[in-house]
Amino acid sequence: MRNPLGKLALVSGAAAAAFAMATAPAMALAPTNWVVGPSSPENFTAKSTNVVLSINGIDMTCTYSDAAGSLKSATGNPAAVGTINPVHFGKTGEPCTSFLGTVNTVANTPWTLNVTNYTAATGVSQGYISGVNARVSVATCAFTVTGTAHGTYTNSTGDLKVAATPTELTVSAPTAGCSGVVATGDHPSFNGDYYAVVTGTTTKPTIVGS
Amino acid sequence: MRSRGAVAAATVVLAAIVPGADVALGDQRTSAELGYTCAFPAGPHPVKVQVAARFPARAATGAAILPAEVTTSVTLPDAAVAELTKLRAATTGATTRLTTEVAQNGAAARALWLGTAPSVPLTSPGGAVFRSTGDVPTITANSPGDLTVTAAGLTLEFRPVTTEGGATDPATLSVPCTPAPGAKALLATVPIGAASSSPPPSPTPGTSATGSAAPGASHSTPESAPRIAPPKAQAAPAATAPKCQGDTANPLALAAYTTGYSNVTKMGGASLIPVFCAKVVQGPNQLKRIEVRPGVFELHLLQNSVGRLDYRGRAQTPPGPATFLTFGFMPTTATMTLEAKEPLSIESDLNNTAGHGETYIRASLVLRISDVRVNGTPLDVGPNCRTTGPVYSTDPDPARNTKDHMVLLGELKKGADTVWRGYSLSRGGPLDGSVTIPPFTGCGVGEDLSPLFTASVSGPANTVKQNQGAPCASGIEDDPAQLCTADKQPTTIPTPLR
Repeated sequence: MRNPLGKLALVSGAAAAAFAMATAPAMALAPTNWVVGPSSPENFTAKSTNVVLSINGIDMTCTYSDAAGSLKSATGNPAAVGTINPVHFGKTGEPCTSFLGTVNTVANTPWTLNVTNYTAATGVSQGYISGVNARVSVATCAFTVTGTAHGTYTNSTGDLKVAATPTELTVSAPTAGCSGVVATGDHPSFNGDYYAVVTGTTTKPTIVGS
Repeated sequence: MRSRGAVAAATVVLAAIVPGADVALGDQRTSAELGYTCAFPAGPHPVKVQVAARFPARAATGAAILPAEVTTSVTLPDAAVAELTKLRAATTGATTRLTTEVAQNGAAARALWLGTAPSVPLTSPGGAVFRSTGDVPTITANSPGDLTVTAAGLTLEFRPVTTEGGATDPATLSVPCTPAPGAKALLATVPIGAASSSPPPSPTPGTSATGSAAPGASHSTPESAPRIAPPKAQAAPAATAPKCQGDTANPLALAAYTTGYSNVTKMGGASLIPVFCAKVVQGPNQLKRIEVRPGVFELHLLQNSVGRLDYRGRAQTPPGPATFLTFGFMPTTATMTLEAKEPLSIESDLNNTAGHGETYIRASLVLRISDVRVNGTPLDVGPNCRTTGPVYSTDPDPARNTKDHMVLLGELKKGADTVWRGYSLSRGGPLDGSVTIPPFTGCGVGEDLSPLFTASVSGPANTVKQNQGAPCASGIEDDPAQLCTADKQPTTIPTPLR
């Protein structure tokens, strides 16, 4: 079930394409045509230095996180324009920490990047990551986080800003060691800026909706 | 670099080993500069190695040759230091494992020269120099002829420590090194003569060993090869950890290794407490919002856990050398053990809001001394030489200042960079305390030696610095950071801090 760390499975855009089924636009203004640049499909890598998962007021902070995946033009709303696989929280010598202890997270990927709104003036897309699934461990306390995480993507900076809404992520399957700290049904927050580039370049991917 | 050609014509004499013929004469000091290539994780780096030793100028057959004052100095270039600092290492100690080839008359044997180097700071530029020392095996030649000692493969084992005093991840780094091609690796040549008391060397029509005739000779140890015996004092290496299998049935179980130094103020020395095993059951978590000012709350996690030491089923540390004992100028060796009289208590108050945490560990440990030797002569202290009660600290909690336990404090701090560093039970880290060693009792057979130990060891203000490794949560399946071995022992073996 668990994705072995470091296994860079570059998933093709097939899953994303399958999602782009011909549904009638729900709202007149909502974009349904999404173009990924500079060339679709493309692979990307992303890094973050400020990921914070917070549960019941307890911050688990990562000064290092990285992700990779693929992007592909798509139609529809929401439209699945990308796949995130893998994503790592912390690395050797720079783990995520909390006052509970060192936090180790195994992300069960792929996660899907969906877009819903686009502001042409700023080049910012709004959307969410779906299929979020991760097992978080701190000593005797381990628990699963699943759900979606909303965020934005800014073409000019390549910043995929994740800022999960208050209840869209949910805790399940905590071990006994979590008792009193993290419980089933708790809603963690998840915040961080991932700066993306087209793999092997300094070019920032773009997503344009119309 | 064995000069095989020179001995091509030599016949190997299977001389009888004559008891009492252990004569090694004179002195030669040797020092060799060697070039090695060491395979660090990111790639190979050239490393300069200097091996110095004192050999006898010549020796007789059957005599034990003991290379003395062996020093292996390893100079890492900046690029290799960078591989260690990349792991957030601030300092590191090292173990050198140098394979030497001991050859004579075309026959050879191998001897491992093990040395340990104290910690050095890792600051660039200029590289880092490790000066490793240690006892090495003795060599006994069975036949006359030049005996050569040549350096071969080298392994460097680093035990890096972070600025905060914790272990790096990974906690140890093992780097294999090979001699640079064409490098001269001859360390010493010791001419071996016939032992005076041995029968005159009657050249037996024996094996003719030459390089060309016996290409495999260097790796075999035929009868005529020099014999290698491990150094007598080669005790288990300091990093050896006892078995520490955690409870797999309890989801709150933790197993962790700890080691460190205890300074004995009176002796002006520090004694290493060998790596010991503690098994802990994590207590209930209590998240508490504490009002510090009207309307201002801080989030605390309060946790009280209990644990016990475990060495082969007994609640004690493994017996280790007590290096704090010296009577006058007499070299004294002894074995010390810390025996737990009560379970360990681990109480933590971690303040998420203010970004700090304190963990107090209370332990009731009696110090036991055995196997005392003064200037090599056993001093019979009997089986019951120990402190009258547990080593103790002034407890910060006045209600518990009962002078029957020591208190170690582990501090956790959140940096401006949001990273938590320091000690907590679940991550390990440094623990500090100051203890009083009570008087001794039960020492001596026939003669009461307790006052001697009391006078030289007992007293207040002895600092204790321990380092706990990251624990193995043995009772749950999750172990993404691989802190447990397959049989649920901790993988993190901490290094002692000074």
